Amino acid sequence: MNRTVLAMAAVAIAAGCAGEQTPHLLAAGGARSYPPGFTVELPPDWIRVESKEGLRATRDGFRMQDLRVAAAPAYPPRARWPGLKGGLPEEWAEQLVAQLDSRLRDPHVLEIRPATLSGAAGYRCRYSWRSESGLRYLGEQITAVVGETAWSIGYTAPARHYYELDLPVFERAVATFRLAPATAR
Amino acid sequence: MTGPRALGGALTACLVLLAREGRALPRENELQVHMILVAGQARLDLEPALVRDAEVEAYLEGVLCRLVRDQARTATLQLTVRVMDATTSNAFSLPDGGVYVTAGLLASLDDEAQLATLLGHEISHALARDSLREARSLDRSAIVAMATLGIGLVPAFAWYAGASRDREREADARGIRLMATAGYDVREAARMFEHLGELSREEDVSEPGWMGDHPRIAERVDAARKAAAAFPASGTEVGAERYRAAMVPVLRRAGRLALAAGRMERAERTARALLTAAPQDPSGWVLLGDVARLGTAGLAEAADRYRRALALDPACAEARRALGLTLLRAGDREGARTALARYLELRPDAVDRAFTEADLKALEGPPP
Repeated sequence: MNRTVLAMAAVAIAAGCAGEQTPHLLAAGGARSYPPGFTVELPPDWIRVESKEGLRATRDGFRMQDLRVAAAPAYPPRARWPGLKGGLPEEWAEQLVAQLDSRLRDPHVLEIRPATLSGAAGYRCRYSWRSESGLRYLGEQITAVVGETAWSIGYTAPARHYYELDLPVFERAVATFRLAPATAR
Repeated sequence: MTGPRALGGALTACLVLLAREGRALPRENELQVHMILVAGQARLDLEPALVRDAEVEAYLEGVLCRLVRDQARTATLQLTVRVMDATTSNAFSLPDGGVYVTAGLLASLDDEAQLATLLGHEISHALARDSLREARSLDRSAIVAMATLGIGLVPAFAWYAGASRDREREADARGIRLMATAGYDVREAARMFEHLGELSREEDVSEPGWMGDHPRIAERVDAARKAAAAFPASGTEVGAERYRAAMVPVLRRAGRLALAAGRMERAERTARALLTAAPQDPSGWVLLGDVARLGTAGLAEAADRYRRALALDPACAEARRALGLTLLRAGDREGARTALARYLELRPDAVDRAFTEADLKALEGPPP
């Protein structure tokens, strides 16, 4: 009897550990103006924090790994760069580069290349910077404009150890990111 | 870059450290206060939030030295000027004579006489030991509250300097006396304060934040005009060309910061000032092109501006890339292809090489 219970418990634990990664679904509409709805697969043991801007997730703390899904109006009434309307993905990347340059410490853009997010054409930018204590961080951001919304999925982590360790989680999140049908218009 | 907030954080950290250790700034020993603030300045000078350019700093410090050469306290001051990497209008001084001013504020000035007014005001605080007097009366709980609330450089220093409006009026008057005595045209002082007013209106604040304890701009302009009348025998030196030539690196950076912040009018004005200062420098036209392409002037205007940059320097990779993207958007496929291909020739290790190659491949086929 005890052996049976133990075996069942072991199977259940193993299934929990090795099971499908949990899709994260935010309902369309509701109280949140953004994001209207998306799904993304994240490891079940990661902490998730929802906000009106989107979703943040981490396993060990946001300074160790910070995965973000965010959505914002692509063409707000007082857009910083109104000429981006109808712009190319690489021009949208210019906006990110300008923000990195003016906000981060010792920023370096390492690569900007074409990418897709939920099937929409966009860009992928890899960059680095240093924290106030001098620790070097690496970051990735993929952004695509879908309709009137700029969708981004990003990942930052200390360059030493953590970045490579959790990069597969980010890649999996990118591959599984889907806009809800009502959103992807 | 981290902006001026981080600078405030560095000095605030010194103050907070004292507070956490249960110590307020020493009230009696001025030398001790001085040494603590000097240590804070040493940390500030390592911040990447500064635009470090030896020639720019040497020029600014030259003007500062000229202002105070006859002052008795000068020997006790370390006269340095550092440029903060920010588009906002901000300036402050430390008790040991260190002056900090934003790239955005420097870019807004027309000439050396206006710079002398600004530096004269700031160094007057150090000469009068205003901030030391205030630092000695700091309340420890206020320091902790400031840090807890995450208050950044601008209000922190406005508070830290603690300069009352009366002291600011005194600093204005002393600064104008200094620039007049140094031989500058004192009529430019009022113009400097007018620029501050224009910047505050652009930044959509009632007055620039660092001037929370300062007299109203209109009052300062009026006072400066009256002071000009009181110095009929002041010099006539303005130094417009010299100032602009020295500020070229600052103008380049300030223009980019203004563009990043979406302050298109300021970016355009700064680019025009850059072109005046360095008419053969293509970066002014590239910035103007970016303002047109990313703002509201349109693609045709942007393409024209990039072509003017390329007329000055055909090997300007930034202009080639931006022209290529502009023509791509405008439907000029052949023009886009030529410009983007040349861009990759000029910059084979470009970080966006994959993007540009994808564009060129798409341009080889039929239009979509």
